[in-house]
Amino acid sequence: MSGHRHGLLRRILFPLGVAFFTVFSLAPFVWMVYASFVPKSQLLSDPFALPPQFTINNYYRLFASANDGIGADNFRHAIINSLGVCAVTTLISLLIGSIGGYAFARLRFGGKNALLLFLLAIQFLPSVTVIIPMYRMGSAVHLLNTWWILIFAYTSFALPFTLWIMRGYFESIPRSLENAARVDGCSRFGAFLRVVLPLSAPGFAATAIFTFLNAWDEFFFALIFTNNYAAKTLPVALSEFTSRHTIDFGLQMSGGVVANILPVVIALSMQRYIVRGLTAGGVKG
Amino acid sequence: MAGVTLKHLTKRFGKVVAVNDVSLEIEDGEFIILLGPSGCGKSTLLYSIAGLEDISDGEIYIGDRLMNRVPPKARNIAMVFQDYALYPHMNVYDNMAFGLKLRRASKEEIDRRVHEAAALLGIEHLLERRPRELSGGQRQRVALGRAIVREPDVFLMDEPLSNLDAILRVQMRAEISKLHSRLKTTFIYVTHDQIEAMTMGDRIVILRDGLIQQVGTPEEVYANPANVFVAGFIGTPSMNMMQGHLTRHDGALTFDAGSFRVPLGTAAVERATHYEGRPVIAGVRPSAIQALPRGAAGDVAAGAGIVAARVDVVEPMGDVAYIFVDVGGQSFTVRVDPLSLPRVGDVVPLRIDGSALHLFDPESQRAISGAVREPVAAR
Repeated sequence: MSGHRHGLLRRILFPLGVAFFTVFSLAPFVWMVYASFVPKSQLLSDPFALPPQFTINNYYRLFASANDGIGADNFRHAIINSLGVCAVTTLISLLIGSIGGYAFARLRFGGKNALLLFLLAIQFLPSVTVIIPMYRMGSAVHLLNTWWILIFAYTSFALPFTLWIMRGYFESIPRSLENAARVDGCSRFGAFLRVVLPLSAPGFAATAIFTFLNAWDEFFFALIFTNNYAAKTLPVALSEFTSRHTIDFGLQMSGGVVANILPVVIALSMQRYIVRGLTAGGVKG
Repeated sequence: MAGVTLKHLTKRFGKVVAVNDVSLEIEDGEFIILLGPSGCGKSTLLYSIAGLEDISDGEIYIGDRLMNRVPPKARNIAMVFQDYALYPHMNVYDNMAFGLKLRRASKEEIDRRVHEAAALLGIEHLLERRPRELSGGQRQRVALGRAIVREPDVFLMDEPLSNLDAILRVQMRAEISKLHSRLKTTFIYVTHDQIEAMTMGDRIVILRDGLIQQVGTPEEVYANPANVFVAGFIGTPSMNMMQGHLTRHDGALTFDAGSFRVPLGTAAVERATHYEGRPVIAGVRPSAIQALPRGAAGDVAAGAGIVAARVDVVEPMGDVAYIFVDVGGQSFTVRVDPLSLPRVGDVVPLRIDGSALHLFDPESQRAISGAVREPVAAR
């Protein structure tokens, strides 16, 4: 009897469940892509009309010059801001995270365990709790509405995670490899560069992907810390397609598709590194 | 090529003293073994010589040069690790060439040395392979090759054979010994395996809890162990230990275990006379106890070192056999002829050779006297 029930579960219920969650997750994305190619008039009057009238006008308006749409001329600035902020955040996080992670993995120093626990604890801190003090700090040093306040904020969120993951990766590399390199002729830092780093490439890739994607998606801090397109990022730009009196669905949908191209490409092409990154912290902790 | 001198070397990890005031002189070209149980400090001592661990106190000399503040890369040493430590992202050639490239040797020089070492070790056909494509024995050879190309003053080896299977271990033991004969370089070899120590080393340094217990040739540490620990550690199976007293019986100095007595040999009497009437620990190797024919049971003479023993376990091992017996509540291991094995439960007469007894002071655990001749059966 239990074998029969187990077979029913595997053959019917489990695939049904997977199908449901797949549809549930993908439906908004699919709708967004569909709606980005449909004129606004059809979207408002008969969204499921068959056959649908497809147009690329929404994409044209997104990248066209000024006065062709609400905030459209600023979208290109927002793309550049997002790319710049996320790239620099990722680089700084990797640099500090790798060197700091190595220190945690290999060196003996006072307060090491307390510092590790502290890193773990602040990962649970909701980022919204620090927004006001960070805003005041940013204002005091005249960094508001610049890339740097966002880079500072995003790096501070990403670092505990990066440090933790890289520490796990370095600990999984046998010490004897570094010792062999030091005997062969490397300094300690030389052994780190020539042996540890090449072997940690998957860990680097995983943390780079996570850091970049989290920074790319971040909305709240970007909204509070920026007020013009010198620093506004894509999530803020997308939100501005909704104004007080009207919603430009066409720009919103096409903007959303454009904003998602890079994360989707990264996620699909680097998914094995994402999976490795998820499990790396559990290796020889 | 150079010798190594250690002067009052101490290494502490917080409150734990891993290496405790070790002083040692290793001759140029010598093959010296650091032997001891896990946690005795032998690997820490090796890593301190390599410079991979900073020392807390003392001095390290390689040749005439003080090495205390010299980084590992500048000590002209080469090291072979227990897990081989081959760089997984490089092929065998690059693994072996790595140290030479860091020292900016010319391409021709690197090529010559790598091929020479590879030919010596029989791994020329493996130079393009990655470490993951090699067997354990091949990896070990590559690790040796990486050390050889450097032409160091000292080779350091940290239990290089412990990850190999038994057959390969025997093979590689011979290879390393041959390598040492050929290169005539100082080898410092760490192991917990006394068979490796006894078969490979010119001298053995036995360590326990960071302290040197004894330094000597394999023959010396086997025949004249300095204390109870060395006596029990060296030799397989371990030496049998008995608690008792030295008494005089019929005019002869005798070891009295309570249920039996063993008269001492002449030379032992000379060294142990001042212990008459005092408690001692007596050790006797399994090969120094002779199992007598069963018909001799009637000749059991507890005063003449002949005792009746009940057989608890019989272990035939091919060309030798061992029996575990009970003598008046004490357990003994005895080497016997595999062609005439007793059965479990049999009572067999055993003769303990008094001249093969090792006597130790029960408080200090140090040797009072050693055996004056080889035990009854060859080891």
